[in-house]
Amino acid sequence: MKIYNILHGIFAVIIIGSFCSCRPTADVPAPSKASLDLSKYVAIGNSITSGFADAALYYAGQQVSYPNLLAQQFAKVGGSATFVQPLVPENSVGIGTSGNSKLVLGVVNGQLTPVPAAATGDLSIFTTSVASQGPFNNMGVPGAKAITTIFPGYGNPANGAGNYNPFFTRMATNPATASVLSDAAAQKPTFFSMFIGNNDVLAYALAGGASDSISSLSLFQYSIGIIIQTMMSTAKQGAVANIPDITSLPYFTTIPYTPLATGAIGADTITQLNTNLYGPLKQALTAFGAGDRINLLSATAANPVLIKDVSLTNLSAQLTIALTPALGAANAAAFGQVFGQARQTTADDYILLTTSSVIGTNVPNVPSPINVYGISYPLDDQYVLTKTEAGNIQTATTGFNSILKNAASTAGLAYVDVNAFLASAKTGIMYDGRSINATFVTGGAFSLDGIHLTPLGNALLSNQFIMAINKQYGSTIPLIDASNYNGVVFP
Amino acid sequence: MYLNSITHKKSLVKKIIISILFFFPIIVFAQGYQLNLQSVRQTGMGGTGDADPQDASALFFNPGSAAFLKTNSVTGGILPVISKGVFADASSGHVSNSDNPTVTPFYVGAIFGNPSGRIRYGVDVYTPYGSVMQWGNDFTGHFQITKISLESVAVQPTITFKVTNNFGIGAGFVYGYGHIDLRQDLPLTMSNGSFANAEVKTPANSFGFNVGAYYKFSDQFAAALTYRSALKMKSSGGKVDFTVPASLSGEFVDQKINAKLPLPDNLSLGFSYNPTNRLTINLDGVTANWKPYDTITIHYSQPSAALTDTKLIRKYMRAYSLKLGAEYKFTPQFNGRIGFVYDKSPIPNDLVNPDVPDANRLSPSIGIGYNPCSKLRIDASFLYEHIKRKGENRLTDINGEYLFNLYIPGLSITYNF
Repeated sequence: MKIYNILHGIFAVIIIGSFCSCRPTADVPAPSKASLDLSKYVAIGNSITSGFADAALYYAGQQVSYPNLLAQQFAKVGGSATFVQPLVPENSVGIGTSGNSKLVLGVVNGQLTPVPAAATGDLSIFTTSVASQGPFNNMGVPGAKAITTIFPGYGNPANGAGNYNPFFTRMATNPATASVLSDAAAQKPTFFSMFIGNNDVLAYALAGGASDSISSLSLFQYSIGIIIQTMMSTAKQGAVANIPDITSLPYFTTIPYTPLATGAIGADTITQLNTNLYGPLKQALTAFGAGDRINLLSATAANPVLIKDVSLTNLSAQLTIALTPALGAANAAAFGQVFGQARQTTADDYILLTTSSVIGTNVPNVPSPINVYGISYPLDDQYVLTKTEAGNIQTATTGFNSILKNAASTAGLAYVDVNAFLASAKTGIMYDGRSINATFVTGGAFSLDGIHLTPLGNALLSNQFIMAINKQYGSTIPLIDASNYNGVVFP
Repeated sequence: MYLNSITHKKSLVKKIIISILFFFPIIVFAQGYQLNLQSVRQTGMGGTGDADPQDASALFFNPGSAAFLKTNSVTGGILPVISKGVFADASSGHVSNSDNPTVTPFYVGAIFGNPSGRIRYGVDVYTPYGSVMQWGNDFTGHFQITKISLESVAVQPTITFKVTNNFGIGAGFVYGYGHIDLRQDLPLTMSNGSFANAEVKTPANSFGFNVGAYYKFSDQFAAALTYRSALKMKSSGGKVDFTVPASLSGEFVDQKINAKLPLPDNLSLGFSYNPTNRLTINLDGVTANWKPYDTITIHYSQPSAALTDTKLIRKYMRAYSLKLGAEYKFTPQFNGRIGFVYDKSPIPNDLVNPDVPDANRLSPSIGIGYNPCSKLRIDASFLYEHIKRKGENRLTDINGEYLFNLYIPGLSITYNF
């Protein structure tokens, strides 16, 4: 009998084992919030915080704003499941700072090119207040600076066009009196994040250093101090992010300083330009000790473009005199006027992404042959960040980041090194078998405006916040598995 | 006049280079997928049997021992592999499931000739390698692998020679044929929101050999030494199909591919001991040389800026297995069997991949044999394998824990005549 029991046993294992197969259970440690109070999280910030992407604020972008993604992770450790954002309509083309719609990747003349999704943005977004859906946990306002976050009436249309922020108007409890900070603090958050300061340098940078201005260090420091102090009246915990160096952003690095590719200008044209324009200009400039401003165009290599550098000594009068014998007084005066502060771009200049659509176009109301932007007519200051301007920006960025780091450290807040993170993206990150970098369109991290992030970029940014928070507070909030987040959508 | 330059500058993204790191995890033949399922009887005994010829499956285990079979024999069996797995991403805790269609390794072997003569002939058909693994849509490593399927069959005509009454040698010629199907997502989002993907399908084949020696010290004790050659599988007629956004179809053209996949040789030393008429104990040690499995290159017939040859860095090490098995004759009709296999994985710790989440493991097996009459035997077996591997990959950054349960029942019929 015993023998048969054993045999029966073996037989039973074979039969049962064949039909009852079970999946192994993964031993995932339970996440913990440690001492964090995440019952009310409010995010202070600018366009990146708002979910702005592809040059516009639109619904899908808001859904993957890093604060919204963070809140979802917070919920996994007992944080509030509710995170309210000032959403725009779901099917809207969105709206950008110049009234534009979001960009999508299209095919133009057989080439992949970012194009607006619609002729204009959805202006109803600016004219429809969503304040009744608030208060908003996400207080990210496109265009906000550290120094404007504390402005009462920042969304007051009565200030006149250009002097108020319509992105704030639509969500402010009282546009005439509220500041971003007052609406944020009124919610009595228990935890806050602050990622502000980009526009304190970026607004200047985006304009090629031609307009706006970099916030002063003292005003920046004052503003950051006020924001942290005010938020911490209820929120004892939080995270402060620093700001990226602009050279991490494709907006400034995609167009090379020699954007005129070999063959882009015909050989005949190059000869003609060298004979009639570049040659005489270089000769005249050399006589005034400024011959390095312009070199002859190369027929065999990519060429730089002509720009106007307002930091150069204006040689208009000298050029006019020098060119008068060859060109006649009237033409010489015109040349002198146009090329008095002209030079070619060098490796230290940054040509803005949007400038690509200007280079090679005709300058209105200027006669041939000095009427082609970048080639026979210098690009205006707004199209290029010169070495001097870039230097100003880098100095300011370093100064701001030092203030932010000190502020976080003094207040005992988590410090998120976004600057280091985006610098690593510039070098290239390998993430879950996917290569991610800062290359425009294909890199995966940056959206079609070259500044704001893709859903994938936002998820990775959220992870930077989580790592910093976990480090500061000893929590184990799980990171986001970003392997299923999108980069740019291809047609 | 400046039209050229204008056109050039307008198309901003003209010179886009889609620099996708195009990894193809082409091979799944690690230790875990080297199927040691060429006999239901032996599977019940931990996969041992190099020095213990019982039926025509000895042609596979040791061509040198088959000459010592007391009768001619025809045997055939199937051993379906049922597997279920999970991957837990280390940083997010996200768990993905792997639902794997059942694969059915099989074998058919026959040996002929005069059982009392010196030379006999046989042929064995078996499944040397095989696996199917299909991850769910949300799998963390989906840019490496979403589905992998490998089917293979080997045919081994064999000659076995009883040199003396105690010593036998044999040799088989091996022709291996396989079919590989791999799918992975590409990091490009299509307009419908899904990821682009690529599928490689290729047949592959190779020639090799299987030789063995068998020495019977006494009726109680025998030893064996066998060597199965490497199989340098060469793809022929392989192709890759891309599902990519229309605007990138020029960069990713469906095309032919070729690749070479070195499968390891196997050297084994086996012992068989019969302390009584009823009990058999086997012990086999095997080493597989995976070192040639270092970097696999996939060549594309129409490469582009976005698609260059794929280099798969695997750097496998030598693998080892130790097998222990026993059979006990309860009655003249019924045998019971038990065994254990310890496998040491060839995969280095810093290069674990979701295509082969292999691990060191100890796998138990049991089996039963039934002889309804003296010539006929029916065998059943059950092998359980549990794979647990903390995977870190320094190249892909896919880090987490892989867990798999493999359930392998077997059923065979053997006719000795």
